[in-house]
Amino acid sequence: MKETIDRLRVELTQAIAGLKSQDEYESVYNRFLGRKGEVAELFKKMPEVPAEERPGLGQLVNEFKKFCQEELAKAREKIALEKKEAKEAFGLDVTLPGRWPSLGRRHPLTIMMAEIERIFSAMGFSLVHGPEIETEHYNFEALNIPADHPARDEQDSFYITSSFLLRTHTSPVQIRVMKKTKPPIRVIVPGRCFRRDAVDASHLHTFHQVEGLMVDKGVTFSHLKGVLETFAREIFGPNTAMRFRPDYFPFTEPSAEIAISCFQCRGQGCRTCSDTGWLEIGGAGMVHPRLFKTVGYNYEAFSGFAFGLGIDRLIMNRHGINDIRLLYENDLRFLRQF
Amino acid sequence: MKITYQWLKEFIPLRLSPEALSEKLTMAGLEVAGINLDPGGEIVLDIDITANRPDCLGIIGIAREVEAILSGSSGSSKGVVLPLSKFKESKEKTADQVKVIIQDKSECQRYVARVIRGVKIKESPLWLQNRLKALGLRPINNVVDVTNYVLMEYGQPLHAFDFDKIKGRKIIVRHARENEEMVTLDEVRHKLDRTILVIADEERPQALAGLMGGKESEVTGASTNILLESAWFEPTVIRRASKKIGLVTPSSYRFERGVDQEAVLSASRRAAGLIQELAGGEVLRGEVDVYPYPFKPAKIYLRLRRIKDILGLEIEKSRIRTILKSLGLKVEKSETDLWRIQIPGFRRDLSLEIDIIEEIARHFGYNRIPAALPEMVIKPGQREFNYQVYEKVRDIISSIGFQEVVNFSFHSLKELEDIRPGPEREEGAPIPLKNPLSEEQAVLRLSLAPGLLATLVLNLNRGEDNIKIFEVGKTFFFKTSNEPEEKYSLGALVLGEARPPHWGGAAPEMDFYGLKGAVELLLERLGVDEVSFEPGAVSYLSPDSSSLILVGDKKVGWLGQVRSNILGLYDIKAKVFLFEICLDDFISSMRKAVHFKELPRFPASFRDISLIVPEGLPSSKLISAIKGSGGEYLESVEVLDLYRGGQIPPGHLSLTYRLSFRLPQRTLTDEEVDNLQSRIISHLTTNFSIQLRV
Repeated sequence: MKETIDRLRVELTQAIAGLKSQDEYESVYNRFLGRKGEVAELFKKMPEVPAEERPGLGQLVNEFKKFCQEELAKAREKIALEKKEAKEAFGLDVTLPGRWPSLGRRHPLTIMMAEIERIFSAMGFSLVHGPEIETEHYNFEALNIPADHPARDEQDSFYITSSFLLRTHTSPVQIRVMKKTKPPIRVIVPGRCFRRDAVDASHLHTFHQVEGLMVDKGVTFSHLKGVLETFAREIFGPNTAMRFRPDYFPFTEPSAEIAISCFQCRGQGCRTCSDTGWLEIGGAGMVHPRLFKTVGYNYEAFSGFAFGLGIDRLIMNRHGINDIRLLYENDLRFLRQF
Repeated sequence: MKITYQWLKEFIPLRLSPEALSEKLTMAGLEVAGINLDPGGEIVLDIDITANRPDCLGIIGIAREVEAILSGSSGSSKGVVLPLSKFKESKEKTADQVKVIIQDKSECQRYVARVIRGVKIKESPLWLQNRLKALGLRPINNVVDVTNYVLMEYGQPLHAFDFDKIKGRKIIVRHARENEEMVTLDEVRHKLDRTILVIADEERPQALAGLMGGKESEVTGASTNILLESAWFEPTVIRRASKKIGLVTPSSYRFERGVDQEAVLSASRRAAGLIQELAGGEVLRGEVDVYPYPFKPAKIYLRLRRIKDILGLEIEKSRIRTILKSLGLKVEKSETDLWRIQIPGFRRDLSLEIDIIEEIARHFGYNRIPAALPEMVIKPGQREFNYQVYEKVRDIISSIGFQEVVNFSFHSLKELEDIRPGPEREEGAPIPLKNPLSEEQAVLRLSLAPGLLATLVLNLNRGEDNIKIFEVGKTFFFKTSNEPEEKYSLGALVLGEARPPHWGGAAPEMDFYGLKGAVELLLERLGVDEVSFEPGAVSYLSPDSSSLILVGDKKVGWLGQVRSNILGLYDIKAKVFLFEICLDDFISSMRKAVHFKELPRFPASFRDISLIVPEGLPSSKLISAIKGSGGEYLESVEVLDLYRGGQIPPGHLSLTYRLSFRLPQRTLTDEEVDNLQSRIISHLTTNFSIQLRV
């Protein structure tokens, strides 16, 4: 009889688990607790049990009856709840589109700027800014680009007055920072720049740069490479290779053009990198001694590196965008992709 | 600068393929932008030459670089083979035939004149024509082609005059006279002034020095006697003349970057040899060489330890020596670690120790310098508070549904007139650009509104009909007549529904209160206290549905519906709401830290009061009155409902406020709250012409 109870207990559990409707519930109830149900049958068999086993078994049967009552009560509540819920949810189609909350997005330019700030900030670089309307002195002379220097050809400028212009690069902020503070210096300067360039898919009169400057005792070209490599791997992934190639800027020496291995083709050559395997991201170099002289630093005691990265270029490279104008056109179909 | 691979090979033995050569040149700082096969059979390399390397604006200069590159792998330097300059001279002397007078010897520091008589002007041979064509030059005749050929070899501009047209057989290098005129080879008449240097004969200018020859003395088929000029002009003089006249020629490009004084004579000799070979004629003996300040090579001291100080790695002495030698730099003293280096005339860009270190780094190879992170004192990066605020603004406003846009800093004068904020903007005058690229970009933005409206139009035209955009950017104005100022502003604009469209039904249309809520929420999240709104508008907002935004007493922005006449300019029919606030105007009054307030331990009591209020009485006045009479017991007042019509008399509206009363130390009794409510109501009804609605 004990075996029978154990078996019935399992059967009840299984029957309840499969219950779907009130009708099914009724039939399970009748099978176990009905007038001719299993429990009633057990009680009916009690007289046949030997007298000495009767109290023990009687307790077992009573316990089983209680178990059935409790389990079936729970099952009935569950069925009632499901019925109520089904009624409330009538007609719900989970495949229909949901109602979107209103959420705006950041522009890819400010997303990239924030990311650049995060990476350099973690390396101890502070974030500083400078004016977009700059004096000719800071934009050129102080950066070792005197009037009549051919290097000015590459930086055709928008003028405001005879002495004010829209800055053509973020480099003037190097001078502003060095004039204000003493080494050690570790800063980055993101910002908008302007050049009087004809507009095409890769040139615009407006663009964004991030300038970097580190000045301290013992800063070397090797450190410049290390810091920029760390940055590039954070942005473009750990397998990114870098190429430093000699270039010329009047305010750094030695100067370098910086390129990263094309992440699309892994340096094999593709449309993104015009089959060169490399993507140019900016220029860099060791701060020129004339700048130190201008700001009153001792070139023998301190050295420094500076770099300027094209933020627009970084974004275009990362997302495979082939026309810089898309970044400033503000087509919402474009902006919603970021 | 274009060169051909075959031409280069005449000066240096080359086993590298054009591709391999290009890669090496690029990695040495002479970026090869393209390799093309010219129809004449020459392989053309297009090389970007940086502004500091005029010596590489000639093939011989590039050959020297190639030499330095190759000696890196071979370890030895053999030197560049210079071209042959052989010709036969007649007995008659050039000096007897022509006189050269230089007025200002600092502006023309060398002038070599040579006379070649009895030349036959004809077409150049095909090989010469092909070379010039490959480099993008148009063949003209044998004499002119030779001057261009040598220009490309030496980087030294030359000019050939028809000697018979030079009056008085005198070459006078002088400044032009005011309003003096001259027609150049391209048949353009120029009006000159005293800043422009000319090459004149006794009567008039025959060439614009360093820029272009004159039409009058042009070498034509009829010419027989030639005067060949090779000279050195002061770079800034040529650059200024080139800018003033608006003419850039292969000559001016090189002169303004600085050519080699020492090559002036050798280029003249090379050209004389080629002219004689191709056009015959007799080259008069010697030359007139006016060379007032003969070249003295500069000396630079190099401390070897500085190489490691700057680059971060040690380079072997023998390697350094090879690099310097292969570049034509002479190491004069190298017994100690202080080397004295002599700089040849073709490397005028080298004047400092760091210039030498760069040369060493360049030819050692940047890619062989290891990357290393500097050892630094740990110090977290700082951020100016303002820029933290701009970032926070972007995050908050985008999180409530506004898409960020980025517009240009300038727009047209028409947009400025149409969408000028007007007198309410207590700033200075707008800043026009002196040399804009186009009318569309003539003036720096005084406000973000024109950019936002332009973005709106673009997207409406592309089929968007619910638009919520914002921009955080700089605006510009003159603080005083000559002192420009920049300030960061936030502008935002809405059109259409407040939420993205959905099949389940449209969201409410955005309106004044929808946008005002965004401003209030933003300022609340930024921790700006004392925000208020008062009626008022800027010129492009409708006066009846706009408001000024104040922080304390300062007007920091405006908010409202864009006027229909402005929208009409863009052909927009829908309602557009816009706000703009100058962030820099209130950043100083922002709360920087949050101070925790004890949570209440006793329950609050609520009372709703409905008032019948005449139209036009601002709700903010009633709220201040309620707060004033509620005192410390009144915890908050909220507007619960606004109703017009029904039993409310015309010209009035019903406003319901929910008042919450609470004391921190105990529960208020009903009687106390009732008394407070009566006190507030009587205060309101005595001070305003309003009634309690019952």
